[in-house]
Amino acid sequence: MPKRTDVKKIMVIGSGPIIIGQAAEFDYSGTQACLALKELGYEVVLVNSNPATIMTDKEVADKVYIEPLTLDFVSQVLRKERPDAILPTLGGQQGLNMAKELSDSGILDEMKIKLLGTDLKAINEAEDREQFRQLMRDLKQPVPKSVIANTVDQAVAFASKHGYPVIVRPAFTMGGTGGGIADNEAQLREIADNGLYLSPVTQVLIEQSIAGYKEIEFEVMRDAADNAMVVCNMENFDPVGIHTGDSIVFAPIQTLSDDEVQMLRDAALKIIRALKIEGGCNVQLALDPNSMNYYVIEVNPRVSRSSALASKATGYPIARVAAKIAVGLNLDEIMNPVTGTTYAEFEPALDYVVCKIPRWPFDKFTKADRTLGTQMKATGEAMAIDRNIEGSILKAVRSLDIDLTDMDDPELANLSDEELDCGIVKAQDDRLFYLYEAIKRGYSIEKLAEMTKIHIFFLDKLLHIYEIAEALREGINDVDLLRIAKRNGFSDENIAKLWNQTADEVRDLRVKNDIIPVYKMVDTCAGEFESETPYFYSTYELENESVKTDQESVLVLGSGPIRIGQGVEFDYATVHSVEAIKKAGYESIIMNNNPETVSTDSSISDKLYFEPLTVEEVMNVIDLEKPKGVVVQFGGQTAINLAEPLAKRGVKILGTSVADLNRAEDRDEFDKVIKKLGIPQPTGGIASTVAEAIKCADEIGYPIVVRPSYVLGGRAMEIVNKRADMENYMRNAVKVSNDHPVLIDQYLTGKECEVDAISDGKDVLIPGIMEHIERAGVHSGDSMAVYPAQTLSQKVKDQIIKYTKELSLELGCIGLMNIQFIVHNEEVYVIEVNPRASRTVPFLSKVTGISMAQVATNIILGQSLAKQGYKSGLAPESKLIHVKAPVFSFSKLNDVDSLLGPEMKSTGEVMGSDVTLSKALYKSFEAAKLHVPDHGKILFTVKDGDKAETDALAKRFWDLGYQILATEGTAKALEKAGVPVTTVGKLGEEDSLLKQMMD
Amino acid sequence: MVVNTISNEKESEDDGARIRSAAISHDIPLFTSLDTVEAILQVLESQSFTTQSL
Repeated sequence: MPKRTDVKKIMVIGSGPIIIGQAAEFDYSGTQACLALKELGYEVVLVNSNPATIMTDKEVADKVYIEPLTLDFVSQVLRKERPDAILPTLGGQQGLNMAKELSDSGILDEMKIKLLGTDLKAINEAEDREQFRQLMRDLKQPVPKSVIANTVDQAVAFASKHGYPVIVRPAFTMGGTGGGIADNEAQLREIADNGLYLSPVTQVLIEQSIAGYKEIEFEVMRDAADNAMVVCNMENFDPVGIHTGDSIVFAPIQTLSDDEVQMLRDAALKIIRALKIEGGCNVQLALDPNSMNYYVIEVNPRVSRSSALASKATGYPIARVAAKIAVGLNLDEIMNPVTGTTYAEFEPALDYVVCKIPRWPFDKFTKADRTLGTQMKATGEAMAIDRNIEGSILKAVRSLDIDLTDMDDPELANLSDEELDCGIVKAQDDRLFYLYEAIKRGYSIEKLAEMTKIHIFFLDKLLHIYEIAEALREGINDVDLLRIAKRNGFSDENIAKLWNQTADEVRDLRVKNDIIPVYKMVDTCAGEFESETPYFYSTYELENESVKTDQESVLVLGSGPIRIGQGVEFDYATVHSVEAIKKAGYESIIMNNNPETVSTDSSISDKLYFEPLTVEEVMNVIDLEKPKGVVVQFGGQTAINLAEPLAKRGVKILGTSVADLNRAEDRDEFDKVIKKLGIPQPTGGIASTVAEAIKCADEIGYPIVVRPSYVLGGRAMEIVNKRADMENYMRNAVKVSNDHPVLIDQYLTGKECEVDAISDGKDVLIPGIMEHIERAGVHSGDSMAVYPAQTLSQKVKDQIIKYTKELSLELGCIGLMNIQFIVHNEEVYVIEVNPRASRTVPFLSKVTGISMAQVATNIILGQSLAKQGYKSGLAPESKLIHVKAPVFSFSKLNDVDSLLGPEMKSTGEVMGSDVTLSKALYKSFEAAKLHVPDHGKILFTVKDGDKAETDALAKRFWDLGYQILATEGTAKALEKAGVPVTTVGKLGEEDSLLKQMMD
Repeated sequence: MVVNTISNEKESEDDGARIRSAAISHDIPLFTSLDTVEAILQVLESQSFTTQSL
């Protein structure tokens, strides 16, 4: 079928803010979809609330609306734009839910707007458990015995009949929120109760547990002519029982016989045909390791996290093809852009192994429950490619950017066998390292397979890694062993550790013996056809497929897996930098390892190296490509941290010099700079004994901020108000010594502001000043920010501009820099300088119209601000008011305190823009899904210091007609202030208290 | 809606955390900074009329 001509204008719905379970993969798929539709000549209107995405760039669609993804706002855009159709299947669950809501509201019928791609009936059939089970029965596809329960008693009755353990899966919740495995009635009652509450249709599926089965995924595609094909199959290292988003995953399937693969492939294709999917679809299956019995676990009738992974694992652009199918093209009519010679119906073949490891937020949330189960907890993922499993898993570990760079976690050596067993049986995020430790202690892989149900094949690979490590330990400088180790993914650093040498010594030996990596192409067809994709991975084999071109090149380092504090914003800046490099006439080369994002789409840069971001791996690419230089300022802290070691090895760092980066990042060096410039900053000191700390605090004057380097029981940072509290805190909450000093700073109350500056060494452009809603003390990433600043006086603004200029020039900034200020009594103090692109670059770029990362890249490549048409100083401010609001994923994680403080906790952001501040604020709350009802009850529980301020706030709520509830202490204060208040119980009564609230 | 800023008063700290976690698990809008509450009030006030007895 040729493309549809009855449709001219198409609206694409994005996935909104990044939360656990719905992340950057939808920026990638949405961007691909918009570009594919534009390529076919359609007019594309995009709606998304997330400013930190490439898909919301003006260039991606004809019209871009950054508006809340709610019925009201999307309807308004529909009425204004009057599109002929909506494409909802590329914006994750949020996109689908939005389409359902629009359809239910009747607006689509009223305006005769069509839904493209898979129709809603099929989507419901895949997502509604009962309809799905019925379909599977009709298709004779086995599903685990299960019952749909609307009450806890129904759930318990099923389990009593069919036995424990059972899995609880709430209907229509994201990332499996609220699900779990119950081994007994008490657990079942607790999980089912919570699941029923969280499900918007008060429905949970109680399912016979198939935990321990092999978990297999198929990414399949189908068009309207019923052509269907498999893009990629994948096997989870972790058997059924752990959410696939929290599982280590390999592609292709590793432990199944051909018969088994074909059986499951047939099942997946049968299902996608029966559902009449038009586009991409993900089918999850469970296979009994001891028989040919299998079960269908789940079907996602849309592109998903797994499809992004499958796209990057195979090179096959699933979202791009899905968008084309949605407008009527068939698989045998769509060219595979990777080969340029085959059609999209050609199934990719892999001649390598891909490994994905999730990235969890437990380094930030140290007290969180780290147990893995049916509820996804990871914020991001890293992917690695090599010719064997050992290589791909070791590279993936290095790509995670955690404390460990290999399998051997020295801290686990202190565990007792019982503790070790516990960590192996009850999977946490770090089980991989527990397994390695067990192998070190001589556990047999048979025993480990029995304990974990992980296939012995995978465990044997871990054993192989251990055997190589042990052989290395015995064979120092043995070149043959070195070659074997490199072929199996060992890093120079890992080998150096085993040999008691430095990584450079290992490297020298390696290079001397010509053990250097070659780069293989990811071409979707295992070399069967000619292919031009510039997408490479390293391996220690013979034939190099990556040829250095004659064009001068620039290497850009990406930011690796998404984590709290280093989100998709840095991928945004990376992609923009690459655009500018291409425009400037250089060959652009990206190194990154995040399969979810736009930067690792092989069509973005001239060359893509999918590699860990380590000194060794970056140097290997540099040795081959000999770029003009390396850009590190857009890839967050991951890339910045590589600047110094790369410079030491003679690599040219483009932009701000390494010495200047250090002057901004080192506390002492920075103190000197700021003193020299005479810029005010909060006074501070360092103490290494309790007495010193108290003396220091007394000298500074309270309140102060204390930042210990070693925490016993308190929070990492604390604001302390008086001497008695300080003594108590120092004695009980922290450990202080010469090795673990405590930083003490004056705590200034006041407005917090933030600027991103672009400097060419002569002129300094300040695109905008952002004013935070929350006062100092809340991490800037968790604060709401307003642009343009609303309450700053001209004097304060002038000071900010002056200090920004002085700091940028003094610190030799070439490119981007981020500075945070506190305004205290009309006086501006500098609290932090980051000599790199910051989290606010996408937001500010969008609201000011200045493509900051591109302007900065042009400067880095030698084009001054003046040449680019920019003047020094603050850019003209916009008429609209824009609010950036943080979005959190607390409901996905247990035992994480949601109280905002100096440590960042948010996972994503939204933006609201309008003509007045209150309208913009309203939109940002709506976009963040913090819908505040216009009447009802408000429960106040505030600390003593906040009580006076609370009186006034509560009074205003009461004036608006809200009922005020408060816990005892707060209620007393409110009563005293004359605010009508109902006192509610405190400890142990939170359930009844909440019931009261929900009535 | 829940407004909760309890942090460092030892005996009430657990309470604060429990109320916060209950609010989150029941999807009740939760605010832990009075500045955010002020912003919410600004929105609500701009959307509503004032009713006052004489």
